Order: sequence, then C-alpha cells, then structure tokens
Amino acid sequence: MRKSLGRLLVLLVLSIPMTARVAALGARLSFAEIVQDGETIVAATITSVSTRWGAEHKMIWTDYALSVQEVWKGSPRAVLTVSFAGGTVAGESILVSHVPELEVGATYVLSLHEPGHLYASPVVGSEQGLFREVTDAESGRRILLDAEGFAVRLGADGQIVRIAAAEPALTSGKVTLRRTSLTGVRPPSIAEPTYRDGQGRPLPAPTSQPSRAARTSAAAQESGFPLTRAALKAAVRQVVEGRREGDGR
Amino acid sequence: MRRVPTFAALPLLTALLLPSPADAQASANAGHPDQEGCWCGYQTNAPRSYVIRGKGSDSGQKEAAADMLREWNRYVDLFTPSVDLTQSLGSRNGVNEVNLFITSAESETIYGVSVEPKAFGIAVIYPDEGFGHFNECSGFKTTDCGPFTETDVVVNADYSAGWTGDWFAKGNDKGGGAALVQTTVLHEVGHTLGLHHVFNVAFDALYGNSFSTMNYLNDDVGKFVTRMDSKTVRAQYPGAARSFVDLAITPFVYGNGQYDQEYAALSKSSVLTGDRLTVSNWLVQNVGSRKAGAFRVTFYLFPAGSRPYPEPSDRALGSADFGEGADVDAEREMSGTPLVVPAGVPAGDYWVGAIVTVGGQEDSPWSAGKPNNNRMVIGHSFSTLRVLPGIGPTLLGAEFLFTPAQPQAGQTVTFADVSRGSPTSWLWDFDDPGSGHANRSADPDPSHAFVSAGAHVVSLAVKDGKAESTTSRTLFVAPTFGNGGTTATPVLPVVIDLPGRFSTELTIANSGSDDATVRLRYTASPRFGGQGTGAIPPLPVKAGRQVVVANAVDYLRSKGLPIPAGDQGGSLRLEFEGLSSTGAAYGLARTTAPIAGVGRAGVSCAGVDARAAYNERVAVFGLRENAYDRSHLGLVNTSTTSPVTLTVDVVRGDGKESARLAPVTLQPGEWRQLDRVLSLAGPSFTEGWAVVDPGTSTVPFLAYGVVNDNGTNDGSYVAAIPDSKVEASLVLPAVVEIGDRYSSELILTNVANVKTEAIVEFVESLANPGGLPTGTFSFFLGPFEQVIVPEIVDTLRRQKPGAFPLPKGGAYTGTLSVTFSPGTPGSTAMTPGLAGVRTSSPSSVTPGRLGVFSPGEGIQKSARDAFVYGLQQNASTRSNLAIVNAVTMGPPIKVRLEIVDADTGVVAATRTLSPLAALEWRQIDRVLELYAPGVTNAFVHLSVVEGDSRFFAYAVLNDGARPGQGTGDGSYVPMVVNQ
Repeated sequence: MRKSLGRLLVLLVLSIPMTARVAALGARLSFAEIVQDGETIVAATITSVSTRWGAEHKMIWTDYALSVQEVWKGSPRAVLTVSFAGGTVAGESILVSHVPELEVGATYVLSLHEPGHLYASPVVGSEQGLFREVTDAESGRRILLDAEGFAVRLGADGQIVRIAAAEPALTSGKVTLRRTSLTGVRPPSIAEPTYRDGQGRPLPAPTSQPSRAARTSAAAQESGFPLTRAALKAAVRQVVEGRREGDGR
Repeated sequence: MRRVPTFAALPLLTALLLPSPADAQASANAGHPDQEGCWCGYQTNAPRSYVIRGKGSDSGQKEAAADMLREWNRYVDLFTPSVDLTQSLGSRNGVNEVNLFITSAESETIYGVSVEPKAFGIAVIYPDEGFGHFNECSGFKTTDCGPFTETDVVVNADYSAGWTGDWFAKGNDKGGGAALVQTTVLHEVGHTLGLHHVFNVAFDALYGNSFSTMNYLNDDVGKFVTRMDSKTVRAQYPGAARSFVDLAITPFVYGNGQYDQEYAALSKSSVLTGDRLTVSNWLVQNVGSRKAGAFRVTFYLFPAGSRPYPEPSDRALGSADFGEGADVDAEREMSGTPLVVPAGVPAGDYWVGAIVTVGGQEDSPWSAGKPNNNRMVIGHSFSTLRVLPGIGPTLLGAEFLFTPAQPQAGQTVTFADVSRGSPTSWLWDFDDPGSGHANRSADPDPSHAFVSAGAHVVSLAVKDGKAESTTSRTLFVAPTFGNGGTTATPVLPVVIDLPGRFSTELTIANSGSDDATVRLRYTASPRFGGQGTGAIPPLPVKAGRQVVVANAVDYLRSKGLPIPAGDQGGSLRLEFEGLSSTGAAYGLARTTAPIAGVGRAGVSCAGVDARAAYNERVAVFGLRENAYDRSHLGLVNTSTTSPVTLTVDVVRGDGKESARLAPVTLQPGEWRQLDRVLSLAGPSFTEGWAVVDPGTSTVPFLAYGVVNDNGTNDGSYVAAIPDSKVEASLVLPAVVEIGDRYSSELILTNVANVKTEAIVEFVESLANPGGLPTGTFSFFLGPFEQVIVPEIVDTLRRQKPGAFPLPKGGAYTGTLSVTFSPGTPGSTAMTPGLAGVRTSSPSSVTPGRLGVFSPGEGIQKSARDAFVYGLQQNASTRSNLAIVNAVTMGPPIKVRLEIVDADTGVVAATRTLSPLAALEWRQIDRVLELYAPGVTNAFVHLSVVEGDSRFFAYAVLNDGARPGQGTGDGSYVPMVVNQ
C-alpha cells in the first residue's frame, strides 16, 4: 500500500499530539550554546507543511511554513520556512534519525542555524533548540516542553533539566504533567547477596538505600515550575546580551 | 575480509534469508516489553549484514565498530558485520552500510544532507512503501510501522572533539572529550533496527534503572549492552533471539533524570591494611535470556596505571555472592558493598575493579580491548586507592555491627564481627543477664534475642594470639508490641525555671486509643548545681488527653523532687507506658519570658523519642552573634547509662574558616548549653553554623540552636539536622511580608565542600488563594557558606524590578521551595543543603524583635496523616494552624481536620478544607475558636482525603487571646507524622 502525501498531511495534523520522541545523538549542549549557536531564535506557529525531493533526488525534505510571533534573536521577519530531512513523496520515503517532526497549528520556540546549510535538522543541536508551547491542563498555564515532551526548567549548571513528562490531554494542545510511571511493571530484582572479605570471612550487609532512580525521581518531582515562554525569553535575552556565561553561571 | 554482496545479488539473498512473514508480523505487532523500549519499523534486509567502511577512519576504528555489532550479535542473530577498507561509500545500493567519518560535504554529495558539527551521527533509512511515521512512538504505539529495505549509518567526521575506538577510553561524557566511535555506531544501528530513544521510561521512584544504549547524548555509558536493549531487540526480532545466560556489571547507575548517570565510587581514598571501605553506585543486570544461577562479583585491587581492568589473579578485596541467581531481566543497584583491605598489601596506589563469574568462570571470554560486560573498574577516571605504609597488617581493633538497629524484645538480633586485623577468638557479652547462658557467645557472628527491653551495652573482645581489643555499643531494645502496650520516651532537651525571667510550660499528650501512664524523669543540669535529679511516680494520661503544666520545674518540685529554689533546669524524659502505639505519645516544652508586663515571648521545642535521638554527625545552622542577636548551642545526652563526648566545630558564615571547640562530655541525661557559641569560636564568627560529631560513639544525643533577640530575649528554636537527613529540595512553609510589620528572613547553608546554587521559588497564597508563583530566583553559595537574606520577599522583588507580581505594601504569605543545585559546570547531581525561615516583627514595647523560626523540610518529612499537638485558646494564648501542599507540582489535595478536645478526649469538630493547590499555604487563625468554640485545650488530627499529594502542617502558639493582645509573639510547633 502506498501512502499518499495527502494522507501524510492528515496524519501530521491529526495524529501527532506531541512532538516526536527523538533526541540528538551528539554532544549535549548547554542552554548558552543553544542560544549562541542559533542564528535565529523565534516563537512561531506552524501554518503548513509540504514535502519535496532535494537536489539530484538524493534526499526528501519536509518544509514547514512558520508564522512568526516573536523574534528573540536575528532579523525580524513575519514568515519563515524551515526544512527538515526526511519525508514521503509519492509513496517513496526516506527517514533520518534525530530529526524532529513538527505539527501544523502548534507553536514552537526554535533556535535555528543560519540558512545555507543542508543540516538534517535546522534546529540547533538537532532538536535541543526546539521547545513546544502547550497548555498545562491542570493549571491552565502555557508551558514549554522539550522535543521529547518533557516539561523542563533551566538548571544551575546551564543545562536544560527535565522535571516531568507530559501526556496529551483529550483536548488538543493541552497536556497533563505526569510524575508516575507509564505502567506499574518493574524489572525483577536480584536478591540481596551475601558479602565476604578477600579471605572469605562474612561481612555485614550494608544498610539499604534508595536507588539512584528513586533519588533522582524524587528530586525531579521537587524541581520547580515548568519553563514558560516568558522565562525562556528572559533567559535567551540574558545570553544574547552577554549576562549569562557559557556555563550558565 | 568478508565480501559484500553486490546489489544485483541482493534480491536472491533476500528471498532466501528474509524472515518469515509470520516473524515480521510478530515483530510489528509485538508491542513493547513493559513499555521500556520503543520501536517503529524493522529490518528485513537479510542477512542484515552491515558493511563498515568510511573514508576518514582507520582499520582499528572500523574493527571497534564491528566488535560492538558482534557483541550485539550474541543477543540476536542479526549481524554479520564486515569491514571494508576500500573506503568506498554508497547510498541506496541495497547494502546496510556503516559509513565512518564522512565529512558534511561528503554526506551532502552522497545523501544530500549534512551533519551538524556537534552531532555524532545520523541514520538514513529507506523504508518499504507503506511505512508511516518513523517517529510515531509516543504512547508506545506501533501504528504504521513497516520494514526497512536499506539503512545507512553516517558518522560525522567533523565532530569537533574527535573520535576514539579504544574500548577503555572515557567517551564524550559530561567532561567532554573524544567520542567513542563504537558507541555511536551501536546507537545508530539501533535506530536502523527500529529502536527509538528511551529516556525517562518512568518517573516512578519505584521503577528500575532506565539505563539504555538508546538514551544517551554523552556516549561513555552507551558502549554497554543493557538489560533494556537486549530485551527490546529480542522482542523486536523474536526469530533471531539467542538463548543464553549473560550477567553484566557496570560501574555506574543511571537515574531517570535526563542523562543522569552516577559513577561507582569508593568510600575512602586512603586506607591501612585491615581497613574497611565500601563501593557504591554499581549495577548488576541479567541481560541474557535465561535465568542465571548463583553468581559472584569479586572486587580486586591492582596497581594504578598498570592496566585498565582487573585480573582474577589480583588481590581480592571482597565479594558479593548472589546465591539466588537472577531472573531474566532482573537487575539490582548496589550501594555500600563492603570491602576489606587484606593484610600484606604493600603500600602504594591501586585501582579497584570487579569481575562477575558463574561457577568460577566469566560467562563470555575475556579479551582485553574488546567489548565485555563481565569486568569493570571503579570510578569515572578510575579512583586511586592509596594504601598507606607504617601500620602493621596484624594491628587488632575490635569492631562490630548489628541488625536490626532498633530491635524489640524477643526479636533476633544478628551481630557481625568487622574487626580490623585477623582475630582468632571472640567473646561477646550482650548485657542481657535474663537470657542466662545465651548472654555470652564465642561465635564470630552470633545472634541474640534480648529477653529484656531497655538499653544494653553489648561488648566484643577479640584476640589474635598477640593482642587483645575490646569495644562496646549500646542497643536500645523496645518492649514487644501488642503485649501489654507499648512505650515511648520523648526527651525534652531542657525545662528551666529562672524566676522572673524564664520558665518552661510542659505539654504532655496521648493521642492513642488506650489509657497510658507517663513517668517524668528529670536530670538536673550541673549548670544549676545538679540537684534534684530523679523521677516522679507515673501519672495517668488517658486516651485522647493532653495535659498542660504552666511551670514544669515547679510541678516537679510539687511532686516531691528535691529541686532547690532559684534558677534551676535540666532535661526531662517522658517515659510513657501502656500506649496503643508508640506514636501516640507527645511532649512539648515552651519556654517563655515576660516582656514589660504585657505578655510573654516564647520558644517551643517538641520532644524527640530517645530511640530516634541522633547517633551521627548533625548540623545546627542559622547562628549569629551581633548587636541584635545571640546564639546558643544546646546539647543533651539522651542515654540513661553511658556518657558521650561530642566534638563541636563552628563554621564561619563565609565558609572559609572553622574552629573546633573543646570536646563536650555529657553524663547520662545531661543538658548543657554553649552560650554564645560563635563567640567561643572567635571574634570574626559573627554568623555561622555548627557541626556536632559523636565520632564513633553510638550513645544517642540531641542538639539544637537557640537564636535570642538581645532586646526582647525572645528565642527561635533551631533543631539540628543529622547528616543522613540533609536533603537537596526543601519546602519552607511560611514566608511572610505584611507591610512593614512582619517580614521573613531566609537562611541558606551549604554543608558541602562545593559551590552550589539555591534555586528559590515563592508561591504566594494569602493575597492569591490557590497560589501565585512569582518566578525562580538564584542565590549562589560557596563551599560551606551560609547566607542570611533579610526581608526575603522584598529581596526577590528587587531582583525583578517591575516584574515581580507582588507590589510592596501588601500583605503576603506563602511557601518557598528551595532546591540546591550543583554549582559545578557539568555536574547534574543535587547538592544537599539546609534552609530555614525566621519571621519576625518589631516589638512595640521593648527594643528588639519577636520572632519564630521554621525549618525547611524535605518531601520525606511530609505527611498524608499527621497530628499537631499543643493547641490552646485562652486568655493568654491563641493557636493558628497552617497547612501547605508539599509538592511543587500536581493536583490539589483536600485535607480533613479532626479537632480533639483534649480535656475530654472527644472529637469536637471535623472539617475538610477546600482544595490546596501545589505549594499553596493556608492558615486557619484561632482554629479552636473558629471550628470548635469553647474548646481551650486540643490537638488536631490531619489526613488527606482527596488527592495523591502530601502536606506539611504546623501550629503557631501566639501570645495573646486575640491579635493585638499580649506580645503577639509566636512559637512554632511542627506536626508529628502519623506512621
């Protein structure tokens, strides 16, 4: 069965409530790098999507038309088109790992490389410079999610820190922040061993401690409020104006 | 070299070796095992060979990549990797290629796409027609998945930090460095098999380690084949799965936070022979497809710099024997694994590593430099363990451990000899004469069931033929529950009577269902002459009752204790018996001072059960010594049998200097106060914090600080925080700015030797019911530094000129959350710290201020069910009750209050509060007058009746029946969690 472009567009519009579950395979960028490496940083809404073959029929490209709401870095502009490698044309597809998909009608903050490159993703850090704006169904607040659908905040070390996963709510554009597992299934545990010294003499078992997962999970639950567009804008401005150094301090 | 099939030959191979349609269908619809791995798409390009070629790579790098695929081929029969040294490249030629080190320009020529300079690589996948969305993995649904007919991996030659194929190299981790080519290849090949990233499988604290090759940006950890990956790929390709046992050990654990690995570490960096140390943060997993039988992980010591792996012939430090084996997919995160430096180890620097064996053999052959999961070395950059010279290997030192830590009478306690040296004989005395002959044992690791409750001084004497060594530790054995009632012994550090100046009000409560008795045991402090020590006969405390005694010392005198007149004081033990549960007992000491005839200023201190007293290092923070305030350090020995000697270090507020005070030896029950403790440290110590250390003693003690206003003499009680209870995320329930009348100061203390950032968030709830977040603020602290921020709300306002949503002049109260984040670039570990709030107002009668201190509490101390005791509503005292939703995010909770009239033991009122949003603070002023009119003496039971969250609660006992009466000063009374 061949999939038509029309069906692809319908699927893009209707069936992807979240951004793609992908992440870049590459160096993790600090927030300052995400800002500094971007030639243009905008808050924009996706208005349309189309696909095409690139030069010499080597790569399929998906072009997104953006209606720009705010320009935080770079030249002011009202509309923008960004191209991502991969897509389907006339039933023929090419997939490229680590390239995010965007949703028509959704609003994003994007840190974009300067045009002229044929980078698989024009977003800085493949997808690290992409944040989707959604509504937290419980608080009603507009918050930003990273490309994998996690609510984030800016950490002290200048990194983007995840604080909660988000799940699509029934109402389009709204999400519910999730602090529990997708399922209750856990990997089986291995029983406590017995301990001996190098001569085979018994040693006492250590006092049990919470697992790393438990400790980081608890920390994540207590790690603050999700990043909003206004907060991100202020942080971007700090970097652009040179007030925030490379390590975020 | 294996010859690559030509494009023309491929259809025939495909026809011969393609998995059966049933296989492929099973793959596409198999779902996701426990929703851990996520995939969409599957490889049909038989024989799923991968040709590793590339223009910028050498043969070693290509072989390293091939080695990783061969390693994975142990789990699924998918890979026939071959290395092509011709450096040819191709696209859409029907061959699965791994193209190492293509420049962006070459990638544009071949694939029409370039690679970002900071990206390791990409996979270009050519799916069969009918394929839907490669990224359609949200919710672990595999809609529209189909087969890939060709996949190519492109590894970026332009990656700025360079590449390495060395198996032992540390990859591009948090600290930067060259990227591991084999790791990138493994990850990208994972994509070509249809696998997706699996970051943060779960935020559930009870879930396992989300360690996966498919979830990294820093690639150092990605070279390990994990339980999750082997499981996912076997489920994706069931027809290719292999059956075998494979146990893996890895030198780190991987949290559910983003890119959040923590490396294995040793507890000590220098040791003597015979010393004990532990290793933490390592992981053992069964990554095979069959249950593993009994296996062993042995730790070894080998010369630093000699080789980056241990050998079985190295000197063993210890082992962990997993006698019950491991089920398929089982894992265990290991911490505190005990090791002993054996006698005869020459002085020098060593590395520590481990090998996992089954039946004495590794489950896969070891070949240095090749992928392997049976051996590991501790430490990110290999931790050096220095064995010091000068101590003979036969030095004997008695030492032992026991479990459980708080046994009941009749319960078997297991003792373990952990003495230094090599003892040849042991003699135990359990200080339990009622047990007859069982009171002694000559076993190295005996067990003993204590016949009698109470304190037992257990001693161990060891001999090795040349020397003898003895040690003792005190065990507190509780009576057997459910047999004649239970006991509890809250200890109040000090009750005092300084006529005309200070006196202590005593509150005793029994919230249980059984009538109980309480015996008051007073230990007079040598500071006041030490006379009057003793106990009064047991008093009845009926179920649900609370007794308030206006002057505790006078009361003890009236019951016959020979406490002299005049200034007197000491510690007080409340020995309850006959309780329905241990937690039903409560004691509170409120010490007050009269102010100019209009009222009293006071400070409250809740009793701590003797069995929960400290036996570890504690910190007391927020101390200051200046024109306005003075600070004292209180210490109490809560043992009734043994003295304790405490070391007190005072750290100056800037963290750059500390002073060790003279050791403090306290006799059983003794209370002592180090007046103006900062002055004892030196004139430059105008602000700071103290560390109280019992050393190796296990005698329990209490410590606290009191910050007194020099004008009013009003005090703020600051409880000590034990080392094990210091947390990185804290909630401070009451932060106030009421015009110019009340304001709160924030105290932040960094107890670690690293700089840290305190991220502060204030949610206002008084003017904004439901809670108004005001943004995030940062305070930076150097190592050991303490910062006191006056007027914290206004300070936050000044940090955001024009943008802070609370204009000056209003009435605001709310909750602060404080998260201590690392101040070290690249570090993602949280840094534990201390935080507290002191809210004060100027005294209208006497120069100075009246205030109350409330500590920051971690989520571990929050509750879903709790009591707040000591509520009063009378001519001189009113009580406010406050509740805070303890979490920073999540749905609201509803909390029910049951107000118990403590004079009758009857529930006088029940109220369910309207929902409390995350971090929302709410105070019920004069709660008794509002909800239970006429009740003057009460405690309240709080419980969550709706919502998953937790809460903090506290009362403030204010001077004066109404606002405007008395001094208005308050005493902070924290909740007691109902276990």
